[in-house]
Amino acid sequence: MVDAARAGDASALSELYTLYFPRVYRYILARTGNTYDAEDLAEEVFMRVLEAIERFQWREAPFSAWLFRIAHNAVISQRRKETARGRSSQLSEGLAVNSQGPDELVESRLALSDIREAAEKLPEAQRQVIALRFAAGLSVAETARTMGKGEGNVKVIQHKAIVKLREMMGQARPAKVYESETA
Amino acid sequence: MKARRLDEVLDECLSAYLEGRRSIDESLSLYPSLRHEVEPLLRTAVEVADTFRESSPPEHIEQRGRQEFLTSASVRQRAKLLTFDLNFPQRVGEFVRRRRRLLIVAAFAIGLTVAGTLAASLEHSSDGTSRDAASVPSPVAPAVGELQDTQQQLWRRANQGVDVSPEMIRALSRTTTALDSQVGNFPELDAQARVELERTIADQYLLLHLIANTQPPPASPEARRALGVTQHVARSWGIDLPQLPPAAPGGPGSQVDETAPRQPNSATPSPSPGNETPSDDPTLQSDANPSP
Repeated sequence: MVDAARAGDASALSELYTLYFPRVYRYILARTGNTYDAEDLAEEVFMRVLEAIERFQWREAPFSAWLFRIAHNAVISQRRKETARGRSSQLSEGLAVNSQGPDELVESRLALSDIREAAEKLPEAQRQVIALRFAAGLSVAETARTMGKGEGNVKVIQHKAIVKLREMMGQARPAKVYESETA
Repeated sequence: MKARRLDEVLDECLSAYLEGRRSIDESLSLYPSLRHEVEPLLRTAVEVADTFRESSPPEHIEQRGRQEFLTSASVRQRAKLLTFDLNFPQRVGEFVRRRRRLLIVAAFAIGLTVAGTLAASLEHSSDGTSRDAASVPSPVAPAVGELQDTQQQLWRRANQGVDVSPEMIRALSRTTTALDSQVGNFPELDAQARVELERTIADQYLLLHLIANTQPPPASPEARRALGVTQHVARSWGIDLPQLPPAAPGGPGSQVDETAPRQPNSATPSPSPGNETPSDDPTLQSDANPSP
């Protein structure tokens, strides 16, 4: 499919988009916490993919790792622009734009808000692992290739990130955590 | 060691859940000794993962993005096709850069082939036989070719200072006489053939002078006799022979050089062709009219 997409095959490109757009969107949402940014940046990432896909080579990395490097660079670039504009990166009102119902939306927004706020306090490598593993749905191997690290290292980082998230989220929502633990 | 084990177990259980292979409880039942430590972390991780999974992009955003993506891809593809020919020099340059080694080998092979062909062509043309013989009428071409071949051999030997065989000079004389009989009426030949025959006889005249003045007997007297034959043919065809430089007095070629001023149209006034007979040169008299 990737090879066909490289050759400009429209159906292959459409399949790639279907498969990866939601994952890229979630990854960017996890990194920025803003649905508007996630929407814009996800589209921008796919435009960059179009520009660069002819240069993609399998021997360097799997396609997913290559794609999420582009997404990572887009997030970093966006963050620099925001920093230059003096805009704080916060989980914002943008999260309200969703296809979910009102009750689910509030619950989801709170949960995502908690996660987002907690993740913001993690070191960069741990944030990246959380976003790639849980938001983008990459395997440990794909995450390792995207980050340029070993799989064992990614598992260690993942473990530490989850421990810290649990601590922070437990403080934010102790009741729910205890419920799930005792379930 | 235990922390390392915990990393692995946590990831194994988490991956199994995310990939739909096992539930959390099924995974935890596989590691009873670590359940107490793994379970709270695993549930936190699953909650985070599920929360992100629920955050799908709005349908209209995804559709709009898809349309823009595919439209842009289509435009790029069309532009690529349109600019294909415009980028030809660039693609050639890229090809040369990528296949530089192959191209060097190919160029070397082509160069060798061309050089070989050129060398063969030059060698063929320097021999002169075929080229010259081809420019004269076909009945006399074999004789011209044979004459030029013999001349070439004699020139080579004379220039290298090697003794020239008298037999070769006699063969030259015989061929010259045979050619004369084959040519018939010289003025009736076409211009190209006349020029070629004239050049051949002139070359022969110079060659024989060289041999007569530089070679020891018996080659030198044989060359003088052949000179007489050559002069006779030149007269019968009505062609001019080249003017020779004056020989040193008393030199080896002094006798032969006496013939030079007698050539028609030479810078030195000479007797009329009718009065110029082989008998004018005593050394040539015996072979003035060699029998074939």
